[in-house]
Amino acid sequence: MIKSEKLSKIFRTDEVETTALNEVSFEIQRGEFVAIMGPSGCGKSTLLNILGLLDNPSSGSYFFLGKDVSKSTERQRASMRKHNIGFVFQNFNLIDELTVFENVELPLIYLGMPSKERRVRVEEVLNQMQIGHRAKHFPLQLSGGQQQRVAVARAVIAKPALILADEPTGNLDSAHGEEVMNLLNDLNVNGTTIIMVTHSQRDAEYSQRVIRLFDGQIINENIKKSIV
Amino acid sequence: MIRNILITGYRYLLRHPLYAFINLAGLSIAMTSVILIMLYVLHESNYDKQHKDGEAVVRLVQGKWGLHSPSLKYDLNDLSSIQHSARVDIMYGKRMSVRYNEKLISMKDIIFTDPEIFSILQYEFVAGNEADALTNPFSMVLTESMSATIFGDKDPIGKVIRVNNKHLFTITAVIKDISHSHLSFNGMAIFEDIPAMTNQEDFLKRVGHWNFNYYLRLAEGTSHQQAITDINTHLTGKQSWVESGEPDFRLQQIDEVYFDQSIDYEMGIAHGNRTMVHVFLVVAFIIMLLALINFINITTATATNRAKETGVRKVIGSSKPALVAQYISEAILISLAAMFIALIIVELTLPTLRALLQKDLIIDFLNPSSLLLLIGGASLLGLMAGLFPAYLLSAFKPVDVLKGFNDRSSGKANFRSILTVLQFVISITLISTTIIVYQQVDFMNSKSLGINIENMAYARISPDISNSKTAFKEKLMQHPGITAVAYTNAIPGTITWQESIKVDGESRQYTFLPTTPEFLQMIELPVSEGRHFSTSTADEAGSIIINRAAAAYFGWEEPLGHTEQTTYRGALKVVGITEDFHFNDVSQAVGPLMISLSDESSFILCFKIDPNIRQEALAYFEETWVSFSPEFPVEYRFVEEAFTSYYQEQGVQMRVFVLFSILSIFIAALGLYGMAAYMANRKRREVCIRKIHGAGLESIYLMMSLNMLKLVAIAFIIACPVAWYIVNHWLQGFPYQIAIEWWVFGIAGLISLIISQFTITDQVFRVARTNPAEALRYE
Repeated sequence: MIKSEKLSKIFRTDEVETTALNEVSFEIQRGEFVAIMGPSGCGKSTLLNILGLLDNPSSGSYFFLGKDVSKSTERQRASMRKHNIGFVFQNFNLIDELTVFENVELPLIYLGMPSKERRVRVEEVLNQMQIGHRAKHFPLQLSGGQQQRVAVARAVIAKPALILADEPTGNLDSAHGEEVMNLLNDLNVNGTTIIMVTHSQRDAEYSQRVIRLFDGQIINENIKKSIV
Repeated sequence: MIRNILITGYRYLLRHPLYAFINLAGLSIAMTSVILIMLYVLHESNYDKQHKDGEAVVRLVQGKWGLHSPSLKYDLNDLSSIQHSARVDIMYGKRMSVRYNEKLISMKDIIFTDPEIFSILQYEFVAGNEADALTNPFSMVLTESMSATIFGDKDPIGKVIRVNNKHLFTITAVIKDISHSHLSFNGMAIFEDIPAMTNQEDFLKRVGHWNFNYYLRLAEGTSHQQAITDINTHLTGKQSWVESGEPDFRLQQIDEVYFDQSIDYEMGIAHGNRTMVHVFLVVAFIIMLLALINFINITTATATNRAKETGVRKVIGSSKPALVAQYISEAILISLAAMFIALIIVELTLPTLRALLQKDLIIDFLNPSSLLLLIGGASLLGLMAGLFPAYLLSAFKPVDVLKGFNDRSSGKANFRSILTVLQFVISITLISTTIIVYQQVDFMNSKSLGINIENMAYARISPDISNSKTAFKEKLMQHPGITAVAYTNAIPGTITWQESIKVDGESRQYTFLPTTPEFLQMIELPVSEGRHFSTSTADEAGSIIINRAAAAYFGWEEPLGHTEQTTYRGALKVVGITEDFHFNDVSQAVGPLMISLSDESSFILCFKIDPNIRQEALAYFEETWVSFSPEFPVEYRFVEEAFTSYYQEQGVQMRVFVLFSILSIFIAALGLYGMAAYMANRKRREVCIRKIHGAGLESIYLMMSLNMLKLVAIAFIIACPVAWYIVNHWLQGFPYQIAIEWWVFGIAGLISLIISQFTITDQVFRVARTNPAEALRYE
C-alpha cells in the first residue's frame, strides 16, 4: 500500500538548514497497524505529514496505492486525501463552530454525498463510537476523550483505506486513551491500515510493527505479531 | 456545502461578537453614507435629462450673458439651422395676484414663453395638449400643484382667472410639476402677451432690452459649431451688443446648464455646485475605503483564529479554491447584511437629509434596477473586502497550523500597519480640513456687510401702491413700530443690475443701483469721501456715488468730483465715495458699484421695525397694505433672511460634509479599536511573561501604546502637507479667506492621538489584569 524510497525532507530558513528526514525507505502492507516511535524532533511528524499527503518530500519517491505521489500538486494530493486517508490528531482539531454531527459530516460533504445518505452514515458512525447522544453539542462542550472519539469518527466516516494517527492519546488520561486505542484496534481488525505516531510504549503495544526513528533515520523495525 | 459554509461563518461571528460588530457597523455606516451621497449625486446629475435628443436642445448665451432681447427671436427665425426657438421671460410673472371667484392668492414664477417651447423642451401633460396650450392670446398652462392651489380638485380647463386685477387668462392645460430642471416654474403664459399686459407697445421690437432666456432646437443633423457660425454671421450688425461690436454667441447643451456657472447675467436659472458633487463623491470613496480597511485589517489580523479550521478542511479534502470561495462568500454575506441594515438607516434618515438639503432625494427599494444595483454593489464590496483575507486564509498550510500555530510573519503585520497609517492619514486630514472648512464658513457668516440691514423688511409694491407711494409711506409712518420707510430698486443680496461705460475706449462693467436717499440712510451707507445725496431727487440729477472698488476700477485720476459723459444717462458726476460694502453674497468679492437716484425705478418698499413691538408693526403693515391694495395679496420678507439664503445652501452642504467627516472618523476609530483588541490579545503571553518578571502597569501600557504612537506620528507627517494642500486649494475659491493656522493640524494630530490612545487603553487594562498563570496555560 505504501512504499517509500530514500525519502528526505530538508527545512530551510535564511540561516539554518535542518534535515528532518534522511533517506528513509520502508514499506507498509494493506491492513497493517504500524507505530512510528522516536524522541522529539526525530522526524516522526514530518514523516506522517508526507505519508498523509499534507507535505511533499524534498527528494526520494513515495508510492501510495502503487502511484508515485512525491511530486503531486496540492490539488491532486487533496483529492487523494479525501478519498483514501483519515486523520486523527493529538489535539483533535475539530472545528469549534461546528457541532459534533457537522464535524463528522464534513468529509462526506467534500465527497459530494447527498444529504440523506450523509445523515444515515453519520448517525451510524456516531453510535458506533458511542457519542450519538452528543451529536448536537459543540466540541468545547465535550471532554477530551469524547472529542477524540469525534475525531476518530470523522477520520473513518468516509471509509478510508488508511488512517494516520498523530499521538492520538497524547492529550488524554489513561482511561480515555485506552478507549481510543481500542477503537483504532477495532478498525484495524476490520481491515483498515493504521499508521500511528506515538511516544507511548503502551499504545505501541497495539501495533504489529514499530518503526523507530532517530535524527531523521530509521534505526530499527520490530515486527511484533503477524498481520491479521 | 453552502449550508455548512453559512453555518460556520455565522457561528464564527457569534463567537467573536466584537470583530463581527466592528465589521458590520463599519460597513453599514459606510454603506448608509454612500447610498445617501449617491442619492444626492444622482439627483444633481439628473438635471434636464428628460428632454428628447438632448444634444440638439440648447440654451443661447453670449459672453457672460444668458439674457437677450425680445426681437432676437425674429432674426433667429430666418435661420434654417434652427428648427425652433423660444423666449422665456421670468420677470413679469415672478409674482402676480390671482383672483378666482372668492379666492385671492399670490402666484409665483409664471414664465412667459413662445408656443414652440413644447417642441424644444419636454413637459408631461396631465390635461390639455401641446398644440392648443399656448395658441390663443391670454392662455395659461399651470402645473398640477398650482392648479390644485387655485382650483382644488375641480377641472381647471377652460376656467378663467383674473391676474393683477386686470387681465383675464384662460387655463388651457395642466402639466406635471417641474422637477430636475434648471428652469423651474408654476405656470406658462404667452410671451407675445407681455406688450398688452405692460403697456409697452414697442416691446417685441426692442434690441437693447436684455432680459430673456432663449432655448433652441437645432435642425436635424446640425452641429453646434455650424449653428453658432450661422447665428453669428446672420446677426452681425443686426442687434446691439454690449462689450464688442461683433456677436459672439455660444450654445449650452440643455443638460449642462445646471452645472455651468460661467454666466454672470441671467435670471431664474437654478444651478448646482459641481465641486460639491465631486467633494461628496470623494467623501463617499473615503468612507468606503475606511470601512474596507477595517474589514481587511480585522479579518487578516484575526485570521489565526481560523487557521485551524482552514487546516482541518484542507486535511479532510477541501481544495484551495473551495476555501477561497468560502471566505469570499462569508464576506459577501456580511456585506449584504450590512446593506440591509444600511437601507433601514437610509429609510430613517432620508427625510431629515431631504429637509436639510432641500432636495427631493428619493430611493425606490422595489424598483428592480435599484434593487439589483444595491445587491450588486454590496456583493462587489464583499468581494473586494473578502478577496485578500480569503487568499491569506486559504494559504495556510495544514502542516503548519494543525500543530498549534503562531502568526509571526512580519509581512502581514507590516501590511496592516500601512493600512492603519493610511486610516490615520485620512482621519488627520479630515479633522483638519473639517476645522478649516468650519472656520471659513463661520468667517463668512459673521463677516460684517458694512451696512445695517437689521429689522428691515421689504415687499415688492403692487400697481395700486405704485400709484400712491407717498400716501402709503406716510400711512405706514404713523405707526410707532415702523421707524423708517423707503423705496429702492433692489435690496442687498439682489442688486444685480449691470451697466457699462467706456474708459479709454474699453468697456467697464459695473453694478448699478437706482434708489432713494431714504433707502441709503436706512442701510447707513458708509460714505467716506464727498457727501450723501440730498433728499431732493430733482437736485441730484446726474449725481452718483461710487464705491472704492469702482473708483479703483474706473481708473479716474481724481474720482471725487469726476464728471463722465455717458450715452444713455448723459453727464454723471461723482459726489461721494462709499466704503466697499457687501451688496451681494459675501462669498463674492465686492465689485464696482454705482448708485444714483431714481424714484420711478424704486418699486421695492423697505421698512424698519421696532423689534420690541414687531408683531403689532407687522400686523399694521398688512392692514395698511390691504386697505391700499385689496386685489394684491400682501407679502414681505426680512432682508436678512433674503440675504442669508444666498449662502445658506453652501452652509448646509458644509454641515453635511462635516457630518460625513465625523462618520468617517468614527469608522476609523472603530477599526482602530478592533486592531487594538487584536494586538492586546496577541501580546497577552508577552505581557504575562513580563509581569512574572516584575513589569508594572505603566511599563506595560507604555509598551503597548508606543506602537500606536509610532503609527500616529508617521501619519501626522504625511497628513499635514496633504491637508494643507487640500484646504489651501479650497480656500482659493473665496475672495475673503481665513489664514490657515498651524495649530489646526496640531489639534487634528492630537485628536487622532487621543482616539488611538482611547481605543487601546481599555484593551491594555484588560490584558494587564490577566492572571499570568491562566494566560500561559491558555497558550
